[in-house]
Amino acid sequence: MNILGLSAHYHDASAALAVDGELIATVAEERFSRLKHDPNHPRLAIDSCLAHAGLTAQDLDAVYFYEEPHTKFTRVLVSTLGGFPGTAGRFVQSMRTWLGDRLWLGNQLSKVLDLHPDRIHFVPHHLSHAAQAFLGSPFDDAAILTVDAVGEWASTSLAVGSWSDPGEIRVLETLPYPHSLGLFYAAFTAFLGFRPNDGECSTMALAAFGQPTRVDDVRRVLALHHDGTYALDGKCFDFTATKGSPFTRRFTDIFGEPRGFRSPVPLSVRGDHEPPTAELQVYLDLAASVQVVLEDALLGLCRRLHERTGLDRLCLAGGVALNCVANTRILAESPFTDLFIPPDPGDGGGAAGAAMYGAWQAGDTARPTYHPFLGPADPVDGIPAWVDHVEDELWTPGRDGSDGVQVEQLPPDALVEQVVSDLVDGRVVGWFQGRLESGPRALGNRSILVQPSHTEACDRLGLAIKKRASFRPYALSIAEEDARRVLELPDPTPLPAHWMQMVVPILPQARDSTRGAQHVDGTTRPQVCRQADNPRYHALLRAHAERTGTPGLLNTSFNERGYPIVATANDALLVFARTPMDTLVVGDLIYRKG
Amino acid sequence: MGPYPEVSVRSQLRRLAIRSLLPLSWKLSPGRVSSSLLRFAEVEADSAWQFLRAMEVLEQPHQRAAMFHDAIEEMEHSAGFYTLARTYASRPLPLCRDRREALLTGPEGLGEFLTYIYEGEREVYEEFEDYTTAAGRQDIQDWLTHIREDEEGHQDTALATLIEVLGGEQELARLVRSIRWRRNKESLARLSHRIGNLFSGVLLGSIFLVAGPLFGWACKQRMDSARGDRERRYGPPTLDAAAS
Repeated sequence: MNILGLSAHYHDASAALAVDGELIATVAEERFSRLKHDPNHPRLAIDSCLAHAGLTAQDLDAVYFYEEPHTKFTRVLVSTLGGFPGTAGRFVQSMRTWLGDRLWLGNQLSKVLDLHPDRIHFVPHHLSHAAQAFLGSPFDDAAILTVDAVGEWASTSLAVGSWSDPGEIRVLETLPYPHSLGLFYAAFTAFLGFRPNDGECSTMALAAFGQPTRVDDVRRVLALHHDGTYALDGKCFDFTATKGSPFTRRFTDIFGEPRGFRSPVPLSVRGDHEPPTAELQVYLDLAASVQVVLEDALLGLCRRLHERTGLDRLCLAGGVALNCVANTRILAESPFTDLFIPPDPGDGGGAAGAAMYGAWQAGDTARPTYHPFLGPADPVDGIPAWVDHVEDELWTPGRDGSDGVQVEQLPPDALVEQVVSDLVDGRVVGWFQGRLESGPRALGNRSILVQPSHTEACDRLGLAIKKRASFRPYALSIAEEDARRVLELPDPTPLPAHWMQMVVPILPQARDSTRGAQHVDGTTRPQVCRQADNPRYHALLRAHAERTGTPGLLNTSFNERGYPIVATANDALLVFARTPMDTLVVGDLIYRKG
Repeated sequence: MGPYPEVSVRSQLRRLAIRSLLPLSWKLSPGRVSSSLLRFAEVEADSAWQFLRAMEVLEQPHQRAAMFHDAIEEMEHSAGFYTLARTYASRPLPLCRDRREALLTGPEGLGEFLTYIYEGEREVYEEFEDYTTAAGRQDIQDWLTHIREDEEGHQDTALATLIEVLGGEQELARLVRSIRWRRNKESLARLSHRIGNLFSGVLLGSIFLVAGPLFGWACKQRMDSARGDRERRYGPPTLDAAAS
């Protein structure tokens, strides 16, 4: 059976394709449209998935959309009418969108894909997430926790999954909107001056600079119950505001005025900054407190879920599962012994969940393997002839300030050696290989790499290429064989450590050699790379470790600020040309400036 | 400048609107300065995207290199506008939610694509002159003046490539007319959409005024029911000692 899964119309629209139960392709629309978190119908992503399998839309047996529009419409209608008269703007805006097209999504998909309407199905939002987390996991039985902003009505759901005959995914309990941990964290993200639904990573990063001195205040707006559930104080939040803040006057009475989004945050992950001002410290402490309360809430939910299921393995999904600090506490302090988080636990991965769920419902018995490298490849055959026609001065000068670019095609071993030499020399390397990663993490196929001990290269990466706030840390890639030389890693290696989904302390003796890829608290978000995960990248990591004796590379996503991770070689070349990146590797080709 | 310097009626109307309405609009609502600049940033980024997609379709290396060159410049323009938009913004800038539509999907449409780019760049070049005058802010004026030179270069590139692709200028007049007609239709569609939004806003607002008082209370009860049920079952929320 050929099953297409889709997610769209909120953020991170995506498509995924399951063939005979196996998930063979998934990609977010943003990678093609170059619009970060693109919510629009994933036309280009669908084309890519179908092209990968050599199929057309007519070959599809069914299409599964990741949520139920009519149920969601009910929630939107009730929440906007319930806010009368203050929600007039929101009502008009929402109804225009919903009555205009979203309510008729089934017919639209049928028309766009030229499929009979009977082949279009809708899966409840949190069931898509649960399927995404459980069906792609290596577990036979597991508890499933989904925590996000909101689906149709549910914002948190507790479920159980089993592959045993008869297999099932059963939702045990849901906590409804507006009580939502995702919206809670997004509201504080807005309060701290970042863009909600995008800047949560900044809130998490800031938390490491503060002390959780305001936990009691935060618990006034998010009450944690003895039974593991929670409730937001509805008088403090306004999630129906059209353009205004998602918090109310009562909220600011407790927490003061929000931080201006242009106010500087002169903090560095290296800790070499001046002490923060008293004004900034207030926000840092608040970020730390919000983070602690979120973690406590998740631990409460884990305890509740464990009590209800008695299972030792947990699958976690929903946007909140991107909070790698919280994931670490779940692994360390919850009753669960194993944790699986899919590569793209947010709405983008909902398409994969819907596809796997559809295949499962259709009776496909093959057990899918959900790994990150399911996006399209961009095969490059030889040196593109057009590169010679580009004027030298168009390539932004690299480290040594000279113009122009040289291109070479090298055999794999020589290529790896050359890249290691470049990294050791402090060059910033763009690394573009094979199939695109799904999800927000670059895991060695669309990555920018730097030797983390090279301070000047790390600074150049942060200031001129990524233009990233200095308080946000970078991740560390390391081969599994070398990981325990650098990381204080539990044994066996937890699954989230393979895909940058948790944080791990760096051993004291490795602090200097990895300083560009650690946070101010001495932790890093590791990618512990196995040979089977990504052979070429693993070979590079091993070769670098052998040459330098100090394993680990700073690995950050291959993109410019405000843009998604690159998808094609041309996208990569554009970033290479526009920034002072020194080296670009595309397949077997190596482009070098200077 | 290409062989069709005369300005279309549509373009004249747009320029008139910019000259007469923009200063007032920006003065009355400072937020519109930021949103206008953000819109420019999005349009420039879309142009870069169009050029990159065109590279995948074009076969001649020098044409692909020309597209790459223009894509880089458009990205620079976009980044400059974005920085300015942020300067004038009162809150974090929203993400672009517009749908991308590739202008060029196959080699057969190359002539139309290049003509579209040529016309678009020419229009932008002219309109930026009006924006420069109307902006009244030195930093915006400086940036617009700077990038007008690039836009002129893009016109020339598009025209040169177009003439090369067409093998002469015989077909050019027909293509320009065709593209102008298409852009007129697109403008009309956008205008219709805005008018439709206005009417639908009035209609939906009226529905809200009627339905709100009738059903608002029941909806609010529905929203509160989850918390109410929980409090009835468990008592008022208390701190979880285990999590403290």
